[in-house]
Amino acid sequence: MLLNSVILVLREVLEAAMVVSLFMAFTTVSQQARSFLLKAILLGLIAGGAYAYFLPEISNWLEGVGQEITNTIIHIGIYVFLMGFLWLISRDIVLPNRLVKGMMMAAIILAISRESAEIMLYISGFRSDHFLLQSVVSGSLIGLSIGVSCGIFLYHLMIALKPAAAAKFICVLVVIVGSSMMSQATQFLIQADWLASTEPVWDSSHIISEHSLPGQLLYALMAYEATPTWSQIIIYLTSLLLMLIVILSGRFSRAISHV
Amino acid sequence: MMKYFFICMAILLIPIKSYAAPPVFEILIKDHLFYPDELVIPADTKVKLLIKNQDATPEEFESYELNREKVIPGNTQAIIFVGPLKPGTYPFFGEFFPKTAQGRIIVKESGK
Repeated sequence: MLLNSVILVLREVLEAAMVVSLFMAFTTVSQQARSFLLKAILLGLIAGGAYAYFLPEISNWLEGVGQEITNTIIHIGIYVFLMGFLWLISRDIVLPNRLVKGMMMAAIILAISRESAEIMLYISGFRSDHFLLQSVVSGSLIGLSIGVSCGIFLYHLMIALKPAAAAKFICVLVVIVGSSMMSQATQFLIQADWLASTEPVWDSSHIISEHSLPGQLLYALMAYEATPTWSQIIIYLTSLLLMLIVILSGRFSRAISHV
Repeated sequence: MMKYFFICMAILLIPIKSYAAPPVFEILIKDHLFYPDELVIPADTKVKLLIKNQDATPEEFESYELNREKVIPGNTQAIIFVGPLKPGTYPFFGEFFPKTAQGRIIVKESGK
């Protein structure tokens, strides 16, 4: 039970830790206070608690696919806020601008809410079994610590760079992580049967299995699927392209206004 | 802005949504086990899995091969659409109790 909890919690934490550490590094590079990020983490946990609590009801919405659609909205929301963040900073609107803070906070709240809801539901399932609860809680704490450590590692990796290079690196990672949210959203729409399911385009499970550690890390970074469908690939690439266009158009309008 | 985005998405999705009712297959979760743990479904057909969690604890139906994941709270049921799939074996498991909750979907050509 202990090992299961470690793996389960780690998987959930990795994804949210990625977004949080990217923004932590961005705030440090911009030499701004980080307290608003901590507030966002806390709000994300509260939102996660509410999601977990109402999940039985939410699951029944929309003829039984309420959970998929809520997850879709959360993922699209994260993408939209990350895109807003990229748009603002590419136009040179930087911290401590309120809108930039708002975008960052909203993305963190959404990212943490879904991941933490799953962890809370998981742990709450053992509340009547004190014997198992102990190993589940310790396992979860270990998983959490490993996940947070990965985030801290990523954070230090970024702030070790020169500020200009770090900002660019952060933007690239935000584009990759953001687009992966859209890929996951597509997956949920297919699961809900709101998008037609088609045959996988390729099967790379023999190269990188989704069960393996590299597979899991790639999943956290870019929603790696060994058997993706066309709709997932197209939406992923379109989302990637859209974010790049947003960055470039922001830079372009900045260049014009400087002339 | 978001509102229009969702309306556009919804409009885009309407034509692809199929209206033919897919066949339903039931899976029970009891004592952290799947019943049946081996389910045969027809190839190239979309099916609706009706998963009834009879345990008091939540479970997450998960399958890397099917690209599916869904949390099923205790004493509730959930639906998951899978397929159309090629013939083959697709393992699934309960992420919350993976030691015991293991199963697989076997996709067979109809008539074989």
